[in-house]
Amino acid sequence: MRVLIRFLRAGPAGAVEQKDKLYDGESVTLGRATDQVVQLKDRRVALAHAQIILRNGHPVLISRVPGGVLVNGTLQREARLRAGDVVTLGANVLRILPPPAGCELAFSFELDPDARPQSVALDLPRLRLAELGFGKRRWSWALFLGVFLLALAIPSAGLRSPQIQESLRASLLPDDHWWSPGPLSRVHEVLGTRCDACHQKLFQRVRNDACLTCHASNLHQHWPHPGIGAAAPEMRCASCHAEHHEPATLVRQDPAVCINCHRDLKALAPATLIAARVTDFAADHPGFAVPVTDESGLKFPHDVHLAKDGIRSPVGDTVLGCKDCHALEPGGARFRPVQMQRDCGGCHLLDFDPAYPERTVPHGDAKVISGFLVDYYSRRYLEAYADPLAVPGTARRTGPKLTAPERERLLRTAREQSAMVTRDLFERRSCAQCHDVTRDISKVPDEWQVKAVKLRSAWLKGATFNHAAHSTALTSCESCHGALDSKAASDVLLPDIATCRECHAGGDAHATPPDRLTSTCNLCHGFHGDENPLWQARGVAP
Amino acid sequence: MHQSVLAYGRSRYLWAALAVCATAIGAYVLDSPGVPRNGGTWLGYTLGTLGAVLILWLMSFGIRKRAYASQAGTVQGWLSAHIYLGVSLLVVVTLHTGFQVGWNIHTLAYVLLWIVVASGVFGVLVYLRYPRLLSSNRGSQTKDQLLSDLADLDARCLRVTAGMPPEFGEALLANRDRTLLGGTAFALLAGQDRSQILLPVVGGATVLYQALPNPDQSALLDWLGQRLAASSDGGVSRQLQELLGLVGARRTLLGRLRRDAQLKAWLEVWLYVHVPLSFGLLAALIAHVLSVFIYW
Repeated sequence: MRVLIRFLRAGPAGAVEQKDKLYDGESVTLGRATDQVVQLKDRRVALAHAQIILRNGHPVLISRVPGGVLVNGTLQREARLRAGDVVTLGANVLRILPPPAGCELAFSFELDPDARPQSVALDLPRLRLAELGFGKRRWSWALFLGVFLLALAIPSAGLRSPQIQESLRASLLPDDHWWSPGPLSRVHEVLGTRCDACHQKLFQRVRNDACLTCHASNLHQHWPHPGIGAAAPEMRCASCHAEHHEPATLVRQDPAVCINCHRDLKALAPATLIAARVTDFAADHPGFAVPVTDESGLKFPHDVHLAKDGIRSPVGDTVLGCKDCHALEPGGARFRPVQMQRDCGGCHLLDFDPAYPERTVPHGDAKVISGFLVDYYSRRYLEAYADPLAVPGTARRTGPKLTAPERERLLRTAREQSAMVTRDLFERRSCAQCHDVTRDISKVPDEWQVKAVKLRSAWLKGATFNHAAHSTALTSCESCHGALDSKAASDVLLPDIATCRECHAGGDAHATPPDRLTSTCNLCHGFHGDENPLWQARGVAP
Repeated sequence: MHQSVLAYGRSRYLWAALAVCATAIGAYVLDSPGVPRNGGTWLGYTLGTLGAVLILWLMSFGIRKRAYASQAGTVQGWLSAHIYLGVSLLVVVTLHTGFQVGWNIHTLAYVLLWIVVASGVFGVLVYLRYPRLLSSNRGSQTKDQLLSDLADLDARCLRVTAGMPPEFGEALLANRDRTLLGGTAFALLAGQDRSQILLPVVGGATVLYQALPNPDQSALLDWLGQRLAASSDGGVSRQLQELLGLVGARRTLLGRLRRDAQLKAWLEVWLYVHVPLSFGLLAALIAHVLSVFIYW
């Protein structure tokens, strides 16, 4: 845009001095600042006061101050300029002139003789940040109050009533979830952002009642502790079960919580039956309370079964390993109890009839077995049994009908035969190999008594032990269990505590040698005991 | 004899801060709380209390430095301790967090602390370096003396142009009126020169005026140079040479003024972060402590 600017100045003796300037630029800016095309040295004028641009070939004045600019005596935000228009800016007067050829706009510029001119001195340069309107105090207050509102005041409003709490949580405003120092563990994720589900009383630590809202009430019982009674310190669920941590650890791992009492248990429970002082597995822990003999009621030499050269079996000599009889339960914690038919029956066949070696008696008590044999031989004899041991000529002749005396004789023979076989089984061939069998004729037909078998699947009732977790490249069954040399079933093949300590150190991680494992109490011992399930919901989850 | 605030009292507060850090780290390593390390264990509470007390004490420096009648140690000593213990706060509070951070107000306080301490460290660095640059730039003159020199130069320029064709007077007046010093924070910090000048540019037969950027007086110097080259009048040429010398001096002077303002702005700007954010941190600290015990 090419503009003719005519500067008029009152000269001496009323003469008017006139000077024309041709200006070329995008627009004509008017104001007090140094970067304005027409710089107005008048404090009433804004730094950038107005601007004249070309719109569709016509000059348009646009006010850059909110109040507008005086055009022909009226304040206007925007005005199309025509020849003859008068624009007043403080003490300055612009008169729009008819533009000469080659110009889009022409105006004269003079000082209004009626206006009182203000100071025309340059603005002093603002060379300090403080002179630019920056204020530390203002920002300090703003930040203090802003953070206080967002982080404390607004979330606290929700504590006044559940309604406010819910509406805060539903809105974008900060709520008490902003206070959460970390995520909940996976099992508690269902509680979501409902802080008050656990934090029921303000300024009080989470109480057991909050946990028992969902969890069964027997969950927080400790081991039976005769005589502890009221002397026991109150245990908080949250003492061991800490939430809002990363990594999430729902169960406290250090031994301190146990040692607090077990360091001197007699003080709490004078009648206690367990060790009065336990402080550390490696340094200060009693040996395992294991019986001297295993009263299983069986006759079983491990060494014979595990003989290097093998043991006689129906298919010849067989070398057995531990796993041929013992199998882990699903989960790997324990071995399933040995069952005769499944685990021993492969070799210990209960056959009784050389003519029919595939027939076996069921594994059970004498009455069942003798009944089974009477049934078996009666049928056999009635069906013309070829008894390999029978006296020649006593075999029944084949024929369509048996006479009554014939039947009676055959059934008597069958009873005699079964009585003989039963005795043979119990006293010589099968049962007595493994069981203690006694005979008491006064108790016919229960005349053979087998000593009751008591197989234990767990020895250390106060501790948990996971076999699968201990199955490493460094360990075999023999490293803990001396089965290869055991000659009697009464041997207790459990390792002693020294064996455990070959790998397990105490509870102090800093004192653990590099080749040992730090072992705190709860590595083996559960707080809640075996009788109570570790997790038990009360009714339906909320 | 000038002594760096860092070396105050044979760096006794450096050793104090190192002792605080070493103790905190040692306790942290030796502690095995059984739960993931956090601010809620006994060590966590201890470190948190220490951190909160340190924050309050560090913020009280703003009061101490205004209390001219105070006998509680020298301000220099306080500043030395403020710097060293302020940096040690990062160690104490980081251990207090147990390296657990998240999107919550606790981590907000922790982040604010980092920004406040980092801005303070920045402040220490500029205070170690810039005062020397500032006095070497200023010579022995004050800012007002430099501004008076500028006014003198402008008056001399206009006196020279009085005997020259009117366009020179207009150009030098426009140069004086459209010279910009400071004005915005960015211009101050960047040492930016956004001055302008309105100059006649010969376009064919007509004389056109254009608003041109004039950083470091370059547009005016170019224009005067062109005029000198085109001048055939010996008197005008001499006057032009004089003008060129004056404008060159003006350029140097403006450069020094801008550099002065720039250095001072950098000496101050970090405080506009350090002080307001420390008050934001104070609010976050109150919210942190209260909220932790509201939902204990």
